[in-house]
Formats: sequence, structure tokens, C-alpha cells
Amino acid sequence: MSETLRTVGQSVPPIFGMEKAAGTVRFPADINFPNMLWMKILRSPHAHARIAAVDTSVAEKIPGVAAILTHRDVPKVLFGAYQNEIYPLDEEVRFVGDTVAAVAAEDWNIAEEATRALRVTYDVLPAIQDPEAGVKSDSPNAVLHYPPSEELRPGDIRPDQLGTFGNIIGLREGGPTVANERGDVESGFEQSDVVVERVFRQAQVGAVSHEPRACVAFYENDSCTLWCSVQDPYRLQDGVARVLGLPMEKVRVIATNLGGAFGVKVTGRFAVLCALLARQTGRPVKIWFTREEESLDSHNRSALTHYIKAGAKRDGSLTALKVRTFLDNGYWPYGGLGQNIAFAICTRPIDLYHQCPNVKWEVYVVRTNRPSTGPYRGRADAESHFPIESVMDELADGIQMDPIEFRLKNRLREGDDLCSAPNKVVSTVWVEEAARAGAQAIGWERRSLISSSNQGPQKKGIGMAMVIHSCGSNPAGTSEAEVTIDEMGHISLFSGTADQGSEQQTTLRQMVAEVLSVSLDDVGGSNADTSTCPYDSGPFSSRTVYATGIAASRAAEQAKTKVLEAASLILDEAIDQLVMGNKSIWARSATSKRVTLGELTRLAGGSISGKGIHNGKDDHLFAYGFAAAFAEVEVDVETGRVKILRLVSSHDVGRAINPMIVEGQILGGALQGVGYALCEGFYFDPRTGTALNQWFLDLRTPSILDAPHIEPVIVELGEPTHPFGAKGCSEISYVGVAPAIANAIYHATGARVTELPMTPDVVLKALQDAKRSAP
Amino acid sequence: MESEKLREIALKINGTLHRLSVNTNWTLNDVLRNRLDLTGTKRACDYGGCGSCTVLMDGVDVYSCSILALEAQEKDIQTIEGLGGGENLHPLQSSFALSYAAQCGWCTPGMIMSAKALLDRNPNPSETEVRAALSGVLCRCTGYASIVQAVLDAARVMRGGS
Amino acid sequence: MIDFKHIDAVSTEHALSVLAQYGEGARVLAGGQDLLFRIKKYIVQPECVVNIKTIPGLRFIRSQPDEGLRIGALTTLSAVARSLEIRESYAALAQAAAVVASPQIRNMGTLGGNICQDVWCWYLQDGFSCWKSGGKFCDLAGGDSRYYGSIMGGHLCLSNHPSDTAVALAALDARIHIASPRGPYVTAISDFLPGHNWSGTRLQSHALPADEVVTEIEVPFRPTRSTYVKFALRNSWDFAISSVAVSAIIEDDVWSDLRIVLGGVATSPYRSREAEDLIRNKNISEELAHAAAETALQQAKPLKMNSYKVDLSKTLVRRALLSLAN
Repeated sequence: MSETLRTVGQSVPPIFGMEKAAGTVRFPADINFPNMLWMKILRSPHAHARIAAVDTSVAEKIPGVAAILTHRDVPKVLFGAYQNEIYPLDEEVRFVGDTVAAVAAEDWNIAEEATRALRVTYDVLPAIQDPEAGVKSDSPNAVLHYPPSEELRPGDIRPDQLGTFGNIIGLREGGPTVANERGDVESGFEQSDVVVERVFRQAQVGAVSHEPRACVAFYENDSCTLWCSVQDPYRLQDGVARVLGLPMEKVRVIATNLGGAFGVKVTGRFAVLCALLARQTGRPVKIWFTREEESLDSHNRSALTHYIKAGAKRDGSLTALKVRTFLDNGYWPYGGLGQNIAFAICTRPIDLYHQCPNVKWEVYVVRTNRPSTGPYRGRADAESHFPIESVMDELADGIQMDPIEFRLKNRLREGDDLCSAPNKVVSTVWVEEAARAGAQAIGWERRSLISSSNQGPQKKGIGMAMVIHSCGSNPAGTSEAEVTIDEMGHISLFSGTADQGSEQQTTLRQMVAEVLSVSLDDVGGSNADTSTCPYDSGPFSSRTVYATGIAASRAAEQAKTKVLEAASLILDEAIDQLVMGNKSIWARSATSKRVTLGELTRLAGGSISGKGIHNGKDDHLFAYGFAAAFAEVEVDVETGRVKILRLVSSHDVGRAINPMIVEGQILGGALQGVGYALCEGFYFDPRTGTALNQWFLDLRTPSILDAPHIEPVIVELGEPTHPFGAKGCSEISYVGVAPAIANAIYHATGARVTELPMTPDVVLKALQDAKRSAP
Repeated sequence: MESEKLREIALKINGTLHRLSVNTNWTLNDVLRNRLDLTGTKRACDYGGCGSCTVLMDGVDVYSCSILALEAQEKDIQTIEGLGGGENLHPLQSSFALSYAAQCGWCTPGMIMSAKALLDRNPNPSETEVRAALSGVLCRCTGYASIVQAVLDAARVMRGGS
Repeated sequence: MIDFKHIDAVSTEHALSVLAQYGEGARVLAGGQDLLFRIKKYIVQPECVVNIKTIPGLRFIRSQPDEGLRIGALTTLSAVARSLEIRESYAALAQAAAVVASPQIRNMGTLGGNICQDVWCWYLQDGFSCWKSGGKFCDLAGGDSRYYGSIMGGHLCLSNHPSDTAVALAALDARIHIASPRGPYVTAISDFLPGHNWSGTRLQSHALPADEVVTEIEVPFRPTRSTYVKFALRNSWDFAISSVAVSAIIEDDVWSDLRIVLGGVATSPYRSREAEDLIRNKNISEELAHAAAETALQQAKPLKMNSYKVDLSKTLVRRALLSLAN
């Protein structure tokens, strides 16, 4: 950390900042073409049904309707965001809101009118609403029709690997989808001095990105171009190519700026249908989701129920952790990303508490007739840390040990093997440093004073949570990058990662600029265009700064090597005698012996290109990010209102490439975490499966008047697997907030809240329960 | 009845008079984005629940999704494009651009226009007043602190500070 | 959105004649912050929308100590919230107007529109049965009533009246001036908001017939202190989960001429005369405030998921009473 760096470590203004402030960024929803048609989707009113017939006769006659697609009109080709498991339209609809048909018309009102004029006859089928009901042997199937297995991608889960037991996505008949087991939990409990047993329930929540996703498709000369709000443009390219029967080079997906994504804007029917309509009509077609559609058709974080039992000894050692988790996966036939999420749920916290000898964590990923769920910010760890960190707190209380010391006593250390990443060991672990820095920032030592001075109905408390989360290591991800230097000496970074607000381009270009010893302004580039940028699996799992950063740095290094080799010939100097800086190369001994980058590329015969790739498959070291969240709250025990007085979010980031951006991501993630903790929940009517609160008023994402003071703390102690020591950190601040607040409420009132969101009614009930069970 | 659905209207947007033919059921937001290609004004919901469609109408911040286009005649409408751009950024825009007050950028025009309405009537607002003035625009990305700071910084610049 | 005709009313008489012509096929469009989203969501589908913003003379705030407060129906909520006279002498109204929704909605939304607004309930949407959209059953009754829903029972529709200003106006004895083809008249706000009632085929949240228009809201002068307290999940946009308006003459610590009105908990602003009786001609104390709060909620019959609102409302009543004393 002691070398002098020019751009890395600087809080340079984000590259897209000016355009965003001027309102000139063209998000996919902002793209308009002359002669463009508007597309609208008809959505299922039933949670589970078979489409018996679609009568388009009335809709067709509405003036201005250009085309209508029903399940009979589309190619029966599989595609999908994670696995190829859905058709563009299906005869079976599997949740209220599922895609039934698509209309293209002259304007948005006509398209809407036409969808409402479609007469659909449904054979209603029994539906599963509740995952725990869904696992029973006599429960109806949430999905009747499974696409043929031979069409799944290599590496996809094959049906013979799937449980045929009802609705559990599973590898074992009737058993959990994933299980993580070691030691013997029952004997662990016998050895415990304190045992805690609880049931935790977390409501489904949506990412609520502000830009409702959009797609504009343009079809001409057997080629299709799409501007689309997706984080996985290459996956969409693949899907559109498959469905339209086009070679890959004839499909171009451009996904430059997204108005928020948080993991959930991925390849879907809306985009593929848009392409089909563009081809059919020969005109550009645009679909722009309504807010309701963005809530429904969007891979929210699943609802979960955890049955958890944990034990510890008085000396502070964790003895046993037994958890059974039910995850409402929605209607994915083959599970979407559910198995992946489930695996991380039951392994990562176990890695965090590496010292616990006895573990049994079973996760049931259950198909339901609900919207598909998936990886929203903090994937898998937001799902697991609420029960785990709540229970850690109760154990610490039970053995009268400081909650921080208890957690640190059981934590993993650098070099420990990982059950979440088999055959790999964890790289740096600065969780203790993050926890202590955060404790200092919140004034953890005030804790006993605070609780002892609580009088009246407003009770104060401080709580914390320790967090493990992805920071970029992910063997399933690949990032490629290219750095080119043209004959004018202009440097460009090409990377297929879409900007969804975390301004990765800025951070990546800072790294490239650092390698090439130029200033940030000298590096341009392009992102997320499948025709011009090399493959990137996308800005998911906080991977961009880490994985794409490694790829971009390698690309820059390769370009630099080529530059120096060329300069060595041109200047007739050994490479180790050359200095590079400010877009020039000169000889150390004689600075007049120099050549500019532009001159060099011209002399070398054309643009210089460096390529870099990162894929963690063969890495032995696996990097994780760590954090500690601290909340100071005031609970009004008469109203159930929880007021956050302060929130400290302390992070092991390795190195902050751009501290301003790192802090902004921490603050944004933490406030989303506050929403998850206190007021957001996506609710369904249990009788019909209809989503109750699909619009902003009832999604209750925090307004500016609900935002507490949040303090980011950044711990920079490096990460050797990254050229600049950085770890991705855009999500991790989300994860610890809900349990930290729950623990603060516990500290303040003695009431353990086991339900998210912790709305006033939920808090009041927990207070009542605490009173009833108090000695 | 076709003729009753279509109206010829004149809208004054950013100082320019636009004559166009609109449906009675088109909102001001529809016209700005889908007919005038002024896509700086966003829309995250269409029901007045998010604020990203905020424009100024006679200097007052309003939701363009909740105003019928034909009722916006004879008003002075200002959108983010009219505030500044390119080489001539308004201090609010510069302030947002130089900090990280715009993350995904979708709420940014709504935030800036609401802030403009505030600073026009109160050039020296407190942090509380800034938060109250921006309480009609949601942000999902920033956590708001950087936005509040950017508005306070712009206010200082506009008062002659630096 | 569906197509509809749009007519700019040039006078109150013109508005009334258009309303008469279209009957239930017409809707009044004032600030547009309530009607437009209902049209977009297909909750109402008018044939004709009558814009009354073009009627001159309906936007004013006049306050005379002997006459009281007169507010034109088209006065925006922002103007009501900002008005010095209202903040000084009719504080509950200014406080209520200031917490409606969000600034942009208050800039367009009118006081007349705010008291005429219909309910918001999850079961108004497609896929559910609702009396207000032609159904014969209230899906809220056995459904998710954690936020929306009466705890005081109701006629057919069990959703609570959502208006903040209506609660304050009820505590201030407001009178509503109405233009009608049968001649203009004035009605007490409690009669204007009797809970859900039929007007032709519409189950409405107010008593205004389809062919009439609110022109003015009048608040008689009483030398009262008043306050409006709103409890909502978020501090912007959200409707009240529970709210309270209290007004009283407090002289030498003795309370008289009280009004205690609850919002967010019934199908119209809920006034508790029994609670008022306990405090009349007395000094307020913790015990008395507590007793009044208990009394105010004694008729509560909560729905499946909103019984927490009962104790919550008692707390709000008690705290509002005590805060007014200081």
C-alpha cells in the first residue's frame, strides 16, 4: 500500500456524471425511433393455468395494431437468464403476471387497449402459494410442463439430477435441494451451555430499480440489434440468436446504462418477444415495463423461512448450528439461480464461522406459482445473515460474552478452506479490523450505559452484525477485456460490463490509467456492446472491480508490454531502461530519446491491443469481502416505531480504487438494507397469488425523510489476488443492516424480532411476546 | 369520436413553443418523452409515487406523469434539458456531475429540478429544508447524503461562494 | 389509458351542466393527483373528464376573525400548508396539508380534491372483488389489512378514508360549500363524509352527488389550539396508518370546546364525543389523557391484521392531547 499511485485511490468524478446530470444519457427506455411500434404484454390473471384458447379477433381490428403474438406464433426454442428453461411464450402460465401474449401497436395506449381486448380461455390449475405447503407429497405441481432436457446447456442441471418429488428443486428425492453437513449437531447441542431455537421469516422484496426495464429491437437485413436494460447482454444475445435462429454475429445487444439493476435485470421474455415482433413487423419495436411489471417480472429476493437452532459453550465456542431453510423460488421450471443461491446460503455463513464443528444446514428450494425469484443485491447473504446474526447475538447474550468478541472467536482466518468454494482457501480476511473500526466509530463501549439509562417509552440500543459476502471471486464468472491504443495515442478500454450506477467504467479506467501511467482523461472506452466489447458475464455479485478489474489490468499490462517492446526497437534501448508516462516513452538515461504513444503506434504499424481475461476456476485462493454493520436505534415501545439514530457500515475493501464511489456504494447499499429491515415487503394474496403492492406507494422504499445518518468506514489492508488489492464492495453493505437493527432492538428492549420487515405491527408483536415470556 | 380524442395544442417547453397534436389522455410526460424526444425527464412509475418525472411548471415542481398534456398549455415548462447542458451546466448540474450524487442517474433530473425550485425560492436552505424539498423524489442508489451535499454545494456556488 | 373526452369548464354553471349531461359518465378533474391514477389503473373509466381548474375564483384563502376561514376548493395543499393565517389559527389544517403525500402532489393537489378523494386499498386492483369497482364482496375483509382498513367497522367497503385534511377539518368543524343544479348549499363535514355510501351505482367515500361540485371549504372561527399528528410507515407519500386531530379552547389549563378526531382507522374521520366528554371543563393530565384515549377506541372492531392499530391509536390520542396542553 505504500507505492505512490496517480489515479488509483483518487476520488475522481464519475465518467458518466456529467451526462447523468444533464439528462442526456440514453437509457434503453429513452431510445426512440421514427416509425417505432410500442409493445405491451398481456399477463396472466391466474397463478396456474393452461391457455386453452386465445381469441385475437377483436384486438386485431383495433386501428393501429400491427402484430399479435400468442404461444402458437413463437418458435418453440428454449432460452433463459441462467439456464435455457423457458420458451418465449408457453401454453402453461405459472404465476399471476406471467407472460401470455404480446402486442405491437402505433402507440402505448393502443397497445394497452389491444392486450385488454384479447380473449383468453384458461383451464385453471391448482397452484402452490406457500413453499412449505409445496413440499408435501400430495401437493399439486407448480409446474406441469418441463421443457425437454436435451435442450439444456451443458452444465445445466439435468432432469435426471432433479428430484421428481413434487416441487422441490433437488438432487435427492424428497430431500432438501442442498445440504451442508459436518460433525454431529445433536451431540453438539448436548455439549452446549446455551441453546437458542427460533423461526425467522423474511418477506419477499424487490430490487425496485427506478428505470423500469425496456427493450428496443431493430431488425434489418437478417440482423437484430437490441438496446436493452440487461446486465447480461451476452446471455440475451445468445437467447435472441437461438430463438430467432440467427447466427450470433447477426445479433447485437447494447446495454450501456441501466437505471439501477441490483442483480435482477436479466434476459427475459420481454426482450426476446420484442425481437420477434421487430422481425415480424419490419419496424423498430419498443417495450417499456410499467412499474407493476418491473415489480412482478423481475426476480425479487425470495421469501424465506428459517428454522434455526444454535448452541455455544460458556467459553465462547460455537458448538452446533442446525438450520432448515425454505426458499420460495417462484415458477422457474429448473430452478433459475435457486440452487446456486441455496448453496451459498448454507455454506457462506458456515465459512464465516469456520470454527463451528457441528453443522447441518438444509435448504429446500421450492417451486411455487409466484414470480420467479433470484439474485437481488447481497445475494444469498442477505437471505442468511438475518437468522444467523440474530442467533449469534442471542448466544452471546446467553453466555454473557461481548457480541463482537463472540463472533471473532469463531471466525475464519486467512488460508482456511471453504465449503462455499470447494478446493479453494480464503484469501485475506480483514473482518476483525473492520469490526473493530466500526465498533470504534459507533462508540460500542457506550452500550451498557445506553441500556441502563433507558426510561420512558423510547428505548435506545446498539447492535451489530458481521458479514461475509462475494467480492468478485466466482468460478462461474468470466471477464475479458481489451485495451487498445490507436494511432493518435488514444487509449480505450473495451469491457462488456453494463453501467447500472456503480460507475464501473470509472473504476476500471482508473486501473488502466494507472498501469499505463496516464491520467484518467486519457482513457476512453466502451461498455456493454456485444459487437465491440469482449465477453463479460456481467456486473453481478460485486465482481466488476475485482474480476473485470483483473481482466482490464491484464489487458493494460499486455498493451504496455507491447508498447515497451515497440519502444525498445524504436529508441534502441533495453526495455528496463525505458520510462513510460503521460502518453510518452523515453529513455531513462537520455530523456530526449522519446516517442509519444501516437507516434509509436504509427511506427509500429497500427493500433496496439492488449487482452486480458479473468476466470477464477483454477485459482486456489478465493477472495471474500467482509464487513461489520452497527446500528444505534431508538424503539418507541408504544408505537413499534424503530428510529435509526446512527448506522455505521465498516468494510474490508482491500483497497478503494475510487473512495468516493466506494463510499457511495456503501451508503446506497446500506439504505436499501434499511428498507429491507424496516419497511419493504412484497406481499401476495394467499388465496389467488396476486401481488398486492406492485407500485411505489406500497413498495415503501425509503424516501429522503426516512434515510438515517449512515457512516461508511473503509478498511484498506489489501488483497494479493488483485493487482491493486481491491475487493468488490457494492453489495455487502446491504447484508448486515437488518440483523444489526434487529440486534439493536433486542439490546434496547429485550424483544427478539424474527420477521422482516420490522414494521410497527411486527415490532409491537415481538414486544408483546417478550413481555409474555419474561420471567 | 376521432376528432374529440385529438387536440392541437401549443406547449412552451424550455422557452420554445411546440405545436403538436396530442390525445386527450396523453400526459405531459408522454409528450415530453415520446413526442418531443426530451428524454431527460424520466418516469419510474406513472402514478406520482417516485418523482423522477418532476419538471417545473411556472417555476413550481410538479409530476409530469400526473398532468394531462393539454392542461399544460399556457404554462412555462422547464425540464432538465432547459436547465443546462454541454458546456453550460447549471451549478446544480455541475455539483451533481463532480460528486457521486448521480449513481444510476434515473432520479437525477427529478432531484435537480426539485432542487432548482427550492433554490429559486430559498437561496440559502438548511439541510433540513433541502431534505423537505427533495422529499418528493425517491432514489434507490445513493442513500441521499451525496445528493443533499450536492444541492448545498450548488447553493453556495450560486450565492457567490466556491 | 382509456380515451375520454376532456372539457374545460369556464364557470361553475358550465361544470354543473356538463356533469348533468354525462351523469355517472363524467368525473371532476381538479389537481389530478387522485383521478388520473385511478383512470390509469382502470378503477374508474369516465367517458368525460371535466377540468374545473379553469373556473375562475375558486382559488383563495380568506381569514377574518369574525368570519372565520374561507378556502376556495381549488386552493392547492401547498398554499394551505404555507398560509400564515392557517398555521396560526387553524394549525391542525396547515399541519395536515403539509404532510399529504409529497411536495409535488401538494403543489397540484387541491383541498377540495383532498377531501373528495376515494380510498386506496390493495383490493381495488385487477383480480380482486371490490364494491367500488362493481364487485359484490370486500376482499379486504378477510385479506391483508395490515395498512389499509378500518378498525371501526364499515358499510360494505372496509377501507379507511385516506384524507389527512379531512381529519383536521372535522376537528375544526368545517363546512363544505357546494354548487348544485338544485341551488347552492352548505353542509357540515361530518355529513359530507358519512362513510361509504351509494350515489347511483357508485359506492363513494363522500356524499357528493355526481352532478355537484365543491366550491369552498369554510372553517368557523373558534379560539382553539389544534394539532394534527400522523403516523405512517414512511415520512413521505404514505397514507396514515393512524392519525389524530385535536382542537380545543384551553384557558387557564381548562379544556373546552374539544374535538378529538381519528384518521386512518375508519371509513370517515372518526370523532369520539365520548372521549371529548371526559376532558371537557377539566385540566388535562396523564391519567385523563389515558382515559380519553381508551374511550376513543372503545368501539374498535379491528380486522384480521390491524388490531395493532387500536393500541397505536390510543397512544397517538394520548400524546396529541398532552402535546396540545404544552
